[in-house]
Amino acid sequence: MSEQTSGGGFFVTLATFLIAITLSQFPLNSSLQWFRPDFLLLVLFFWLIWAPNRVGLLYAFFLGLLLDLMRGSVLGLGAFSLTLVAFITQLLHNRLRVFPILQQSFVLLLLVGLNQLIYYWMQGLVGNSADTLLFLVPALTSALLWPFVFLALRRLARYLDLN
Amino acid sequence: MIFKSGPSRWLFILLIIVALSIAALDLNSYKFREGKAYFNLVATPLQWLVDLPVKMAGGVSDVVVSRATLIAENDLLRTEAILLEQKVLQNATLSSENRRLRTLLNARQKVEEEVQMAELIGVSSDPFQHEILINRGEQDGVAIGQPALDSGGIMGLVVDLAPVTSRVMLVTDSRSSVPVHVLRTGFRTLVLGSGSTNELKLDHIPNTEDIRIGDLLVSSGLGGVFPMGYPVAEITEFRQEPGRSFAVVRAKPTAALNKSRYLLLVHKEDRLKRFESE
Repeated sequence: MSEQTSGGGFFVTLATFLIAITLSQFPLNSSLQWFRPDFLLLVLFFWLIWAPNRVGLLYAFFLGLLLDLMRGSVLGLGAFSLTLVAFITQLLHNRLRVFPILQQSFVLLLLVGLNQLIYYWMQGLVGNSADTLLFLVPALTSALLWPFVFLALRRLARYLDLN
Repeated sequence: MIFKSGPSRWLFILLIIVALSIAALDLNSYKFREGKAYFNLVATPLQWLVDLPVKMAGGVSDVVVSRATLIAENDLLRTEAILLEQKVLQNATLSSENRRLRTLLNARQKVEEEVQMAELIGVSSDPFQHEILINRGEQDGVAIGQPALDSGGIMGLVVDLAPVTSRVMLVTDSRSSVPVHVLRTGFRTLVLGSGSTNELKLDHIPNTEDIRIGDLLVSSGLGGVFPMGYPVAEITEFRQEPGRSFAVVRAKPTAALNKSRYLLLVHKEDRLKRFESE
């Protein structure tokens, strides 16, 4: 931990997460809702790759709790699935870091798909039955959005010299 | 080397266990759900933030609206007010007549329901969960299980609380069911949420039942959650399938579930007392 991790880094990271949560809850037309990318996971994925010694499992856990409170799902489910996805990202970290962007997109596709699967499987516990596979669409839109998110956040992180 | 010893497995296992036990508590313990109201306070500022652009757009369109539109709207509202006033006049005579007839029949007097106004501040982002967020919470006397109405009829009931906000599950949610009767025939049944917006379904309706398209379904008050006599849905489809023992019945909610910004919460304490005194 010899790199200088200024207090500013924490607040900028937190701000990006809050923006992502806000976007993920923003009211949309009900048919467009199926296509909404998983903004929170996109931003979390970036920080897990970019600043692995600052952003880790604890971030994923508490962001998941906050997301559960925001969307009113069973408390702890979002925390469970985000922690799991973050852990997989950490396991793959050394490879992900050198992957080209499109290959990162593909990994993200699988991770968002996993996250959605866990979430809707758990929704079955409270009696919300899903008889369509449309809930996997966000995996695709998130993967398509990833290059833009990555480039934008990388520019931000470089500009502010964050680690 | 970024990680000294790879990602922390112990932290991972610990967090997973904590998350799952919180989820188990939330699913099983009513006490925990009540305490959760205070955690929900953390999310409230963010929820206001999400609603802000919509509110601002409404504010801007209020400011830049043209004089002609205002005059037209004013006219419309005035005629509507006259029509409604006339109906209220009729209503007063009808209700007094009703009360007289009820005393003649020796029946219990009907109590007027007390209502509270609330404003919508958010919509659930999950397409499977038909829930809305309103700006009244525990501190305003809202309780879990309280029914919510709009000008068209029953919208849903409160399922989750925070100190200044609460969450209302709409009747179209797949977990929802409302006891109703058909206004024309008095046939009692349940209206179930189908999980798709603007559609409700009725299960286990015999093929021979007298239900027609356009029939109004009114809440029956059975079960003690929803107040009696409010419109819930209108039948849009009644199909008899020869191979099946029950008919396929679909209905459309009468409340403007995805349009209403203002709703009424019916006070539950009074209703409970009423049920106890019965």
